[in-house]
Amino acid sequence: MRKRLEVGALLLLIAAPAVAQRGPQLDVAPLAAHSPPSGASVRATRILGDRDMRELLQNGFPAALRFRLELWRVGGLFDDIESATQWEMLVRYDPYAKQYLVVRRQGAGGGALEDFGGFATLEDAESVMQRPFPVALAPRRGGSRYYYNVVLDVETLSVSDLDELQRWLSGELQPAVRGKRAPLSALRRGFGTLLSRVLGGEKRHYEARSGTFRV
Amino acid sequence: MRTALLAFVATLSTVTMGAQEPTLDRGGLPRDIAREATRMFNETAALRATTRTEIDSGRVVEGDVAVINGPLLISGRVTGRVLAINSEVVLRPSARIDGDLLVVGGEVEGRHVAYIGGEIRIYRQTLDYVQEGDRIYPERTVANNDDSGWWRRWERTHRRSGSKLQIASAGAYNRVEGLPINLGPQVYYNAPWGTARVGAYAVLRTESSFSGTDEDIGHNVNTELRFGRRGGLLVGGRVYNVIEPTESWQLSELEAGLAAFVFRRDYRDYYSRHGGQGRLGFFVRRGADISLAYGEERWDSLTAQNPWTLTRQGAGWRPNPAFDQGKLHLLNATLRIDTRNDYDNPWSGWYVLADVEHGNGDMAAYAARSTPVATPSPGQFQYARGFMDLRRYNRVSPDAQLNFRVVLGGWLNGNALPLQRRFAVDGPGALPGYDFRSPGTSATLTCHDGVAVVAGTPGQCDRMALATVEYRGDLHFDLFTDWDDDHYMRSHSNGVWVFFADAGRGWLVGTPTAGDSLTYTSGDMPALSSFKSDLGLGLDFDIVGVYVAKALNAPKVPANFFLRIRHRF
Repeated sequence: MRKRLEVGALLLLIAAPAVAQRGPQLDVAPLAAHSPPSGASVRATRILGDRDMRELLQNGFPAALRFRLELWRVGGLFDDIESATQWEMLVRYDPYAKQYLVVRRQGAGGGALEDFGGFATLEDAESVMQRPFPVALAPRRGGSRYYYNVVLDVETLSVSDLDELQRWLSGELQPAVRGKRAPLSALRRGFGTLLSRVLGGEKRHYEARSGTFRV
Repeated sequence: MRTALLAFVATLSTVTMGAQEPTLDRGGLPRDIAREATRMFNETAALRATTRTEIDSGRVVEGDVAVINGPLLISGRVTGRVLAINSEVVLRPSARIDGDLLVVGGEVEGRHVAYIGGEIRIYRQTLDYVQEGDRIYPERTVANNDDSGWWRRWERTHRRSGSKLQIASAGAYNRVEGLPINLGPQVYYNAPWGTARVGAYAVLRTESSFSGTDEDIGHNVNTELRFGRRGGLLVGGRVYNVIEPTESWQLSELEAGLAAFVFRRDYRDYYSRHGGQGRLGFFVRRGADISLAYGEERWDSLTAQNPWTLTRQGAGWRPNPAFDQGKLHLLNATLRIDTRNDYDNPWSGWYVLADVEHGNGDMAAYAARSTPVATPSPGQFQYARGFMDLRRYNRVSPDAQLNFRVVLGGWLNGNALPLQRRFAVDGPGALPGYDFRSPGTSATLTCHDGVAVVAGTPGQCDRMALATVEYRGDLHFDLFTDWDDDHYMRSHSNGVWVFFADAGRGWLVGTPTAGDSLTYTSGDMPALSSFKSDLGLGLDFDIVGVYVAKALNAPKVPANFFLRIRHRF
């Protein structure tokens, strides 16, 4: 009985905030304009919008959204990964300019860089990710069925823990010391952030899959 | 529309002011990019234009192309670089750019279908410039922003070389240390020849008394050099005074820590290791390495403390078993192969961890064993022990997978294994249908007969074998996201149902006596009919899974409900 109560309580804790708000979405679809598809279109929605991630960003933790697009070939017994490609989006809040800076990088050395500049709100910054992003990943084998699978890992980053501590001291604690913000609130936010890092709670993982198609 | 606006503004004046998207407050263009773009425009000779430009299919431009206030449409070939300032760029499938593509104040359409031999850089921020004749110069306002790429700085410091003060958990929350925290500098260097990493941490423990004794504050100083990029030689070493768990192959650190912190249930046992180790090996690409390590260390026994927990604060902790104490020389040969497509949620690939350990030394005190295992006499000893964790992940359909795991471990030769190196296969990390360290637990899972059981009931099998198979299928039900858009497919939802079956047992190596079902000679293996097995079902919601498992060999034992974080394996 005690075990069941523990299970129930934990499920409620996990499920309640998730069903109370619109959650993040990751979508993938074959590029419709090409037959067979030359790649897939990937879209991420409301990935950074939750309160914890917003607080981490505002506390000076840059966020990295690492995408991996896989092309799966349907096999007789088991499906196989035929090819894969990766890219990442980096988001950082600049407290001086009060802007969210967004960069997309694809491939190493000779790859692609896209600097979107600064956005006044996180919603505006997220609008970049909400736009379908076409990625080249074409099937190689004719007569087979394929589908795309996209994986997204969201992780807050650090230049150094000392830098982050300094950001927190100047960004959160100084206003509190000067009486512009409740000290307990500043302490709570700062220690909450540090606790989140210690427990590794700032990492998120999402997956999505397209429908199958024949080449 | 935006292109038209840019063109209109450009026509009005020779001084073009940067346009902004109506709803977005874009930051200024980095100063070095503004300089690079204007310099490149002024130097470009092959094709330079200040209006809509199209390179038709079949046309070849020998050299660089620079366009300002385009758009630029390419169907043909450019053998050099392409620069577009305050211009949209449209690439047709037949487009070919042999050099780099730099776009400032615009977007690129079709880059996933065209061929671009060099680097692609796209800056959405418009370039504010002054035009004098056929040359352009950056506006002075551009110079206000000299942040040429915060991400580059981050990359330099985070990924390439640098140092930082590390503050991170050093292991799972547990009843011996509370929360262990690594505190100290970490230095890493990424060079053309390979990588180097050094970490020097004090290990702080929330259950510390800070009295300066060895148990209170540990240390972990480690270094690793990897010569080569895709493969090569690795050399490492470490000096340590740490508290380590036994049987960490069962539950992940996060699961063990959360079970202890939330439910006051610690599924691991702990002992201290104090010494040093050197390591030499080879690595191949990112997912495989083989190494030989030699270490000299001292093992000590530890007692459970009383760290704070979220629930059941009035309940006592399971005692931490007494472990063997002595000085050892350890030689480990370890192979690790990891071809999984994803660490957190693997759908394909192999994971293999194989380790052979040879230990010898002087054991000052052996901890008491539960019957029927005899407690050895202190003195010189040597042993060899093997361990292998083999996993295969298979996708059987777009929304289902069939995964296998086999774990084998045990005594290979020499004297009896130290208690730290023995096994048990009960509980949620191995055979979840059977209670963890319960008095009613089958003797074949922990290798004690229940006559005289030492505190903490340590696993004391000489050998063990465990096999697991699980089928995972999408529920087409998502607890955490909305389903309000049919345009894209998201049929791989968070919700997964899991069916699994486990079979395993442990046994002792020795000379069996009459009626002894626990002991087998070193060349024998127990009959498969003597293995304990269970069946289970679960719902895995990516972050947490809720499972129920029923022991097949114990009809009267009720089913066990349990939680796992992420996958069972």
